[in-house]
Amino acid sequence: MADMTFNTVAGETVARELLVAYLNTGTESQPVWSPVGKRVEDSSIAMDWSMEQKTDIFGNVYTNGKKAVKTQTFEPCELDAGDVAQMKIWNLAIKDNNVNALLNQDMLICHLYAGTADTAFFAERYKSCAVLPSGIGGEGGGFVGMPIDITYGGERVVGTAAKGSGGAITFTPDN
Amino acid sequence: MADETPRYDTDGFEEITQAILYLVNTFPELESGDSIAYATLREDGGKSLQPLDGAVIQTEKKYIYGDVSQTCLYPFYLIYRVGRPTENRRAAIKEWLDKIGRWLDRQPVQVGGQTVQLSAYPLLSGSRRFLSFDRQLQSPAFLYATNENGTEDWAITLSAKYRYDYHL
Repeated sequence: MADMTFNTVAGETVARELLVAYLNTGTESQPVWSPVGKRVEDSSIAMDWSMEQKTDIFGNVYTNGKKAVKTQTFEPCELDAGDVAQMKIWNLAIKDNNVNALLNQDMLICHLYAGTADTAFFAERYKSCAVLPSGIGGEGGGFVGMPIDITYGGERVVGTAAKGSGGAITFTPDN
Repeated sequence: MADETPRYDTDGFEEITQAILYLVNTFPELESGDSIAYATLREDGGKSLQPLDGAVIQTEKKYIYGDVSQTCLYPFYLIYRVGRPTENRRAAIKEWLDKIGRWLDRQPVQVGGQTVQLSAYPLLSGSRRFLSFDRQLQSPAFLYATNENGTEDWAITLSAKYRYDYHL
């Protein structure tokens, strides 16, 4: 895939809402991409490159690494009947206690700032992600929250995505 | 230097005002034929809802995929004007105002020998919804003004807290 440019205004920082993680709440063949992170104020993808340094006999330092293991936490993730992604996770985790399904979730990370805005922005699909709630509850007088930890994994497919009317996302894998 | 200039939910002010006015006029201890007016009082008596300020945006949270959630406050007085009251009348008015304050806070109150409790706040349009009605400074009803014609205005101060969610 050729290098991409950012579609935002030079000199301006990229808004946080242009990086969105989506959960497939449809099927693999007919995915429905539902955003993850409603009412989450702060969440970042952590990247662990498994780096190791060594010094050779000449005194030169070399660094080895592996492809990054990407993880992301979403909290508090207050329960909301309008949050389709969260309801799917709730059903798998709370209702079904189905750990195998939770370890095999289909996620799409959309970088709306890279590529052509709205119609062909960069996206990366991870077909076997671990999507695991770390708890459920909250303080008295507050709201029920279900924070979620995600480890992106499985086959990684890059491509572009488009945002249609009503916010519907369609993903086109790169050839 | 931090920007401390208050911001207002100007679009929501009118709807919130109408909703609060409707709500206070459903208070069970309001007598038949009596009503709480908006920002007006007769010279000889009456009851009135008077906003203190606009609907102030207390907090604003921006979420990672572009949603915004504002918590707004709509402070207001409920004023009860009465003509030359006796001490007993003053006490009764103060109790009436304190009671409507507790009722708006969804506490159980005694009306006509029965316990009543506000079950829900009025629905608002769009994505605004009431969260609570709080007593300002937790103060009881107080004498707000003594007028030239001898009438007295008693008042409580309340603040309606509501939430407004929208997408950028």
